[in-house]
Amino acid sequence: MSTVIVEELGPRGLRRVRIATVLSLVALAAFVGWLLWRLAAQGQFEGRLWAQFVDFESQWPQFLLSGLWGTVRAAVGAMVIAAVLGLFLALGRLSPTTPVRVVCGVVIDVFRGPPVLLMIFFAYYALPQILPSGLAGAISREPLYALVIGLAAYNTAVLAEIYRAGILSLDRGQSEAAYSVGMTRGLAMRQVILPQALRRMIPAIVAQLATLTKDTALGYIITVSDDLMGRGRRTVQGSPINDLQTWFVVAVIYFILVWALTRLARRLEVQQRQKLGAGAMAVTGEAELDMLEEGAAEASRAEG
Amino acid sequence: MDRFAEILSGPHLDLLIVGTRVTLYMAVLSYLLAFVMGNVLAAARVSPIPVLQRAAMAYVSVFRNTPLIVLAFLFWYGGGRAGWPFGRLTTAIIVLGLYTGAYIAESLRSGINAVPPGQAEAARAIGLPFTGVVGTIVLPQAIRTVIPPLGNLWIANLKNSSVFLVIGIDELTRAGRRIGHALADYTSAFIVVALIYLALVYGSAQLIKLIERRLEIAR
Repeated sequence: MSTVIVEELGPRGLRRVRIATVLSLVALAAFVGWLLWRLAAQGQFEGRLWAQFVDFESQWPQFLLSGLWGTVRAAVGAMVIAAVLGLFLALGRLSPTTPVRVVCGVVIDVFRGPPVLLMIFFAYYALPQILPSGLAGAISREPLYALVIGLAAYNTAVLAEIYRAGILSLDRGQSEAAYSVGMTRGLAMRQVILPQALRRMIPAIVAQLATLTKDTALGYIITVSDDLMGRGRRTVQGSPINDLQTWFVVAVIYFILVWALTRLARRLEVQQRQKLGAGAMAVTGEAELDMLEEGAAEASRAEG
Repeated sequence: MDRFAEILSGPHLDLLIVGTRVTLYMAVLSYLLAFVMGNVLAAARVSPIPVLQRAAMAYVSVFRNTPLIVLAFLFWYGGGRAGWPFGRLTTAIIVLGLYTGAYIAESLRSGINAVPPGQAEAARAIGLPFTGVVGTIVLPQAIRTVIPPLGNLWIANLKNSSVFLVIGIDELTRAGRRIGHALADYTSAFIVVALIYLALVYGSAQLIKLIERRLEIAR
């Protein structure tokens, strides 16, 4: 993989690589050592600062870990909402009716444009001022709802684009064949296009779930209390001297969760590539959407 | 409409202008840092030295799979206990740069890998040294394929800067919250802020397209 630029090394090259290996090992070790020494000099490795995270008799480890449940709930809730609404938005964006297409396009751009944090703020601060008091009260009492709404709004737009890319990546022959046997647009979409396209999009959707899971941490800013970040805050408030340790432990838990999702996405993508053959287009994420769009535009130009 | 006129005048307008300026300032500086980090990390990933490959992989994995806000806390509150020497804004720029740098590294690496191996082989066959192979053959082609992802990362970086309001940076999103608070009308305030973000994102997208077209080679 990395031998693209460097050819097979001869004896001299191998010696140089060995020297560089030793030098970079020394440099890395020096950096890590210096970092640890700095932390140790400030007493950050003292047992009392870490004790509560390893003492499983106390409720602290469970306290943090049970926060994980809140995080997972928020992520899954937002994902389910976004997956359903995003599909409708994508279908609208591809509709042959111009007004529907334009409106859906504008909705996608407006929801995807600003930072996801602004969406969460909108759900937490602005929605209670607009909604009837019953719903408004629910959001004020339980900021987790606002977090889920904000994340769902943003990810609906992102997923709509992923869906659209997946649908467009399908060979045109599929829909043409469906029309030629007399299927209507809707029937062809349901029976022929979506079943194939959705399967192709699974890696991209899982990758987006990883991103969304990371974004649940923003609930901290709107005082969500029953997730990982909220529990972290209360741990810090309980003993404000070990915030470095608390956030480190929280970071490790998040890392494991998100890393597992990212790996799953990558594995699914590799499987997909093998199944679809080497030249096939696999939709892997937001970054590739633009390239895909250009491809589609080029194709239509070539035809016209 | 009166409400929007109110937001776009006097002290509220000042808040918005300062917020926009801080957001852009953070975005530009952190992206520069991220670009440098990304190049260093990508170079390490494609280097023939296994230790550097592993170290760069570990860095990218850690920074991509940890929420930005947790990284901000680790550096700001955690670092604050261990002699971290920088102020709020500098910390925000550094953390954001380190975070986006991991993504840039991945984009650059996939761009380098997208250049057909025959290109580098041909370059070596006509006797170019390593620096010539990389500098005149591989990188110029790789850069063209990574302009769109790098542009998307610039936009993501700009949007992610909003997270740092949590360590007290007065950027655009925070300005919106303050105005909403002052007027007891969050809806209008956030709509205005969203429009500013949309303008920044749209402007960036146009700029990226322009750069892309400039660098395009006729084939």
